[in-house]
Amino acid sequence: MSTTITLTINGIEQPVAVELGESLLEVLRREGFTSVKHGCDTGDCGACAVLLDGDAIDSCMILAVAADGRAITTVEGLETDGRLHPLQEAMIDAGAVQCGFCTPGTVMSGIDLLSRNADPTEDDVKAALAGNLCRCTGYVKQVDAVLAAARVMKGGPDVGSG
Amino acid sequence: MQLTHLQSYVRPTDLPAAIDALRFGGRGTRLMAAGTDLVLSGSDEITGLVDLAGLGLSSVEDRDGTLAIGATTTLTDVMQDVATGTYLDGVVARMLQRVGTPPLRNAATIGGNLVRRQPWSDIIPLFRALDATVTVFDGEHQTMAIGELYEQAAHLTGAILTEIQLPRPPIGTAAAFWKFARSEVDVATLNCAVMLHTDGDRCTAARIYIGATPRLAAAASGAEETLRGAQLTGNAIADAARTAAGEIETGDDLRGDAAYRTRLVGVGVTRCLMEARDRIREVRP
Repeated sequence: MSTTITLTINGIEQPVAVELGESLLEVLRREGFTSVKHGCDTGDCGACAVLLDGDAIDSCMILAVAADGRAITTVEGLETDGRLHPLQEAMIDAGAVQCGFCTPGTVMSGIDLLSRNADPTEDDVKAALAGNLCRCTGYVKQVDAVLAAARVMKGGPDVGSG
Repeated sequence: MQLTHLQSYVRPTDLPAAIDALRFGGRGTRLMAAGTDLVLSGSDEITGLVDLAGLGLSSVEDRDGTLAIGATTTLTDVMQDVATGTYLDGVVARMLQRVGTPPLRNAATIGGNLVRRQPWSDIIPLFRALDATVTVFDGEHQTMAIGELYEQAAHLTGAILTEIQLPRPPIGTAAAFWKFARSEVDVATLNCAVMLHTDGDRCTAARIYIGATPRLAAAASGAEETLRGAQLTGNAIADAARTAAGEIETGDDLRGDAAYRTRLVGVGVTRCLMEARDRIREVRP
């Protein structure tokens, strides 16, 4: 059975036709937000992570109808006036992107952390990224990138990245 | 598509409307909080959902020392609340840190975990050890010991869990939680939770629960009894651990066999009792 819900995706409120039993992941990809990756479908890999009202969640584990009336941010919505988000810049600078499949979800978990904790430790970052599996980078550069982004977002010099 | 047979979805804004929707929704109607577990189940039996997200049941409150948690509060919101951090040295927050991944904790709710009664739940053994009470609504509010949720199926299927209360601990109380899992984000191969009440160096009462055995958490009553009135020495702790390993029935699944789990029972009880004892000693003047 289908219905129409209202989602605010990357700041734009829009009606979206959905099947009642569809996950938010399926709907976002159909609507063209293909940064949201279809990975494990079991909430283990984090490739489908998006921000739901500011919190990183696995979109494969949430029904789209349950997101009715709520705000979603995907990687497509992070750019501001042609500039990438500081964490996206930091991921590039640190060499934290290889095949790129996990990167959008990892960025979402990193942004969630930085919204709660402007001055995270390395352990805080490792704990925050624990739900995002990466089979390329070995995680070290990803952790470096989140720490570097935190420094930039606080207005300090980005002393950590080369 | 995750729930292919879903025909109706409602998000009521008050409890009477929610219980009506459950009762009149038919056999395939289920209550849903975040839905993370239901979506994962992909069950063909689910034809209707009553979403509890609109009921305003998400809150954490320090009620004169009692920690009151609304049933639809996410694990993250419970974990990061100041009141949770101060309750019994933050034992609930430390346990939740071991549950799933951050994106899962941002969605999954405390009540959903209790009601889904997965045997590997980390929350159930700790809340049982902490002697939690729960409030359910089935047309009227009823508050009962958390154990009743698992002894009377009607509380799980025909009523709405609205709140969990962790009682104010008396002076000389400490608690600990221990989990053994194959990886940081896996469910437990075995878990253990302990609460100790003490008077000086003497244990006046202990509550010990073992979960993921691989069945739902159960009390290690014999071990609790060995500790009553005992000094919390290494020998007393070892005796309790041996008793627990002897009395808790364990079984096989893909995460471990029964003999391995029995070894884990002894390890878990030892570590929890030592941690709880040390926490009591730390706060004593």
